[in-house]
Amino acid sequence: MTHQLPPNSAALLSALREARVSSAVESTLKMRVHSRLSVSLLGLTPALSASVPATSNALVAARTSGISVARGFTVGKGTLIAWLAPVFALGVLTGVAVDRWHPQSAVKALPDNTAPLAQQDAPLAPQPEPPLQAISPSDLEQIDAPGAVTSASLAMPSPTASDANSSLAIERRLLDEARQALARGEPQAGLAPLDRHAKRFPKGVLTEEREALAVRLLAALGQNDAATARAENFHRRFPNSLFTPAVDNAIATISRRNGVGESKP
Amino acid sequence: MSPPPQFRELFESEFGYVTRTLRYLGVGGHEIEDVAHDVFLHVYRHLPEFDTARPVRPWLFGFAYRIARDFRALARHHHESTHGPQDLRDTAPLADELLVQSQALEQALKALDTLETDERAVFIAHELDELPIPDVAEALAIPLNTAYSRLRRARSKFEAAARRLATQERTR
Repeated sequence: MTHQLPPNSAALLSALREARVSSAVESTLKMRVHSRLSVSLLGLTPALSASVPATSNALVAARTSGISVARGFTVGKGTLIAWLAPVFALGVLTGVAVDRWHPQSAVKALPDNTAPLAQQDAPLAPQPEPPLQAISPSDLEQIDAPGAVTSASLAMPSPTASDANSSLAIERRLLDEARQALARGEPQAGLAPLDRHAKRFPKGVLTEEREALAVRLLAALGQNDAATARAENFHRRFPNSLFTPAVDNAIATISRRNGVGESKP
Repeated sequence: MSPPPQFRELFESEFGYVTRTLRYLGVGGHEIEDVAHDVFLHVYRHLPEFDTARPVRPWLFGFAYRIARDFRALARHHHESTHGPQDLRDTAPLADELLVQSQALEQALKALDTLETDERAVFIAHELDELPIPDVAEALAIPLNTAYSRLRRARSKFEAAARRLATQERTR
């Protein structure tokens, strides 16, 4: 379709085509988005969390602290909430729930064919000691408000519509189960699904996500050595991972816990 | 089938494209961060389904368009209640700061603002990304005829706005 634009429009169109991006602004934006992504992908799914107490304040706090969070993940109880909040707030604001496109992944029950694989017999990692008091569960409980999802039409086409029983869907379900166990404050319950995933999909497309999630679960359980070893392995395998900040964050919480002298049980 | 592209690589190489596209689709102010986040969240989730035989940008454009559209529609209703005080939000980059400003760009963005989001998407994908209309229709998941008619309307509005802006400029 050939179309000759009149000179005025052509000039404006050229301005759009040739617009230069401010690299400073772009890199700030990129860093902020990247940091938020790493948390939202390993944190709660938006569907879980549409009702956030004091959403606005948390959102504002997270926005203003976005850069420092990207640098070092200063995570305390309050800041964790603040940090996770934009994801949830975004869920409220946009009604976008990632799982809308994977409704089967809402982690109710695993399909039969995944269940028989190692339940408790093969722990994810050595379990040297009983769990410390985990940092995240009580925080996360506050925002665990199932069923409050706002709705918006966001029907994305799925180029190769993923069947509920496709490998990816099953992988997704296993990881979602682990994620939601963490969200419920039961990190122990998250280990089994991750282990099933590792056995069934040793080269699965969500391997990187699984390994990062494992570090978070182990850290939440206070299995410090296991978490650290797993994190080191993660960094070796996935040096440029999207989840690097989240993994570092989990390890940083361990250091902080130890640093402030909280004794192990 | 080759393996799906690594998300991190895609994020690095296409972040600029996505944010520029969002800006042209009319995402303004601090919302650009929220919308870009959402786009890449969905891209991540759907990456394993991506057909590597195809170019990636039209695929990304589809996400950017739908999320920008829905975000804008909802933001109109939620803006007051979900956003904090302006002074605390000022640290987030603004969409307008993303592109180096010039008079021509400012006018071009004004002209774009006269288009409906649906028209705008077709116009940008075709005129700026130089995507053939059948590919635009596919990326946006709309019928071919709809894509053509949106393009016609978009051009007509854009040209009218360009003429108006040029006249204003001369009479200033």
